Amino acid sequence: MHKDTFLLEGLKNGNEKTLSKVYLIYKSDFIAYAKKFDLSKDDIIDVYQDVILALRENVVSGKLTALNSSLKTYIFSIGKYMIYSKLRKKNNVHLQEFNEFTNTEINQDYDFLFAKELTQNQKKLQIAFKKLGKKCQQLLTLLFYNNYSFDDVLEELDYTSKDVVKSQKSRCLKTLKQKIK
Amino acid sequence: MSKNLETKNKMINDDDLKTVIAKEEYTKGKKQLQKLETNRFSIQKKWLVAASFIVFVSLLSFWLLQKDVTPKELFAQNFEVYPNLITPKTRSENTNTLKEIAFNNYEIKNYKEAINGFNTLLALKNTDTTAVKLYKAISLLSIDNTSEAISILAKNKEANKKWKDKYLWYLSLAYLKNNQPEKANKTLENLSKEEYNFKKKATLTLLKLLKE
Repeated sequence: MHKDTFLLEGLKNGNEKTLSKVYLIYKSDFIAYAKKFDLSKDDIIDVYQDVILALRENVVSGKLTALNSSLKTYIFSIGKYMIYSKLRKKNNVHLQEFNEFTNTEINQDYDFLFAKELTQNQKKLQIAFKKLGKKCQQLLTLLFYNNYSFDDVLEELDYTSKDVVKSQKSRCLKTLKQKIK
Repeated sequence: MSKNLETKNKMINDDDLKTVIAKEEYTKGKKQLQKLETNRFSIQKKWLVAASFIVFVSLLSFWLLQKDVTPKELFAQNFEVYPNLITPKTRSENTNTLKEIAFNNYEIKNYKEAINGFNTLLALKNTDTTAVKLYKAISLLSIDNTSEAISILAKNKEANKKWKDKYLWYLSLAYLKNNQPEKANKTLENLSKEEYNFKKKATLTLLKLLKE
């Protein structure tokens, strides 16, 4: 079994150890690569953390199911895009280096949910979600973010039946609605 | 429905909720990685003297990580003890009977004592022996007595339909721990054909990983 597949499976299943492992494996290479741009060490670390979290989001959301290249290449392509975005904010983009991002439509691999600006309604929903109990947060996260089926949730959270999962989901959503102000 | 609730209903749709949760997961992940970074930095400061050793270990780990995943790593990622369903306790209850003492030791990870207790229960034969043998095998796996665990699991896997999926799951993990991926694969294939499987998703994931 290949290491990259193993790591992607771990990220998909929400394994925290795998997240740290992936972060550490490619960190020094990424820092070495990013040093050629006008970024501080802290900025590079910050970007690299976002790169790894973007990778996880793409795996969990199903955007990335199989790799066409190595995991390292995929991570570096996201990294390059994030460096480009950061430098663009500073008006300091070396155009030649980033031609691939300037002329074409942005690849969906670089469209991350966590980077989106929240609407007013989403902000209210966010506040309400934070007020939910841990069990409800966990259940809704598995269903809406990790795209787990009821069967998957049944196994993951040790509920007694699929019907219990379904009714718990309804209860959690009802509570969430009640908490929206 | 009140007007207020109607407004609230409009506020929640799947995409909004997904976006909000994605933000939450990002924040949690960011904290985890920042903590990892801070810990690593303080370790470097504290243990400057041992830097060369750390570099060596890091290089070795890096080299090992470049290799394919070993069966033992798969075991480590998937193994967790089966919860005590035989003598679940409430806070007010005292631990009196031999069965309760054995399972209490199991719960507090005192596996050697738990195994002694399970042996006594098996000698008395007044409890569900299939279940006790399973918990004994899991305890043996936890203290690295893999061969004996395999022996118990393999011998008793067909003894009781209620426990069969648990036996097959832990037997496949024991084979992984014992560096026998082919046997683990075969056991998982058998488990995947079972009507009831408490580890359905994990079984398929492991099978997929073992076949690559």
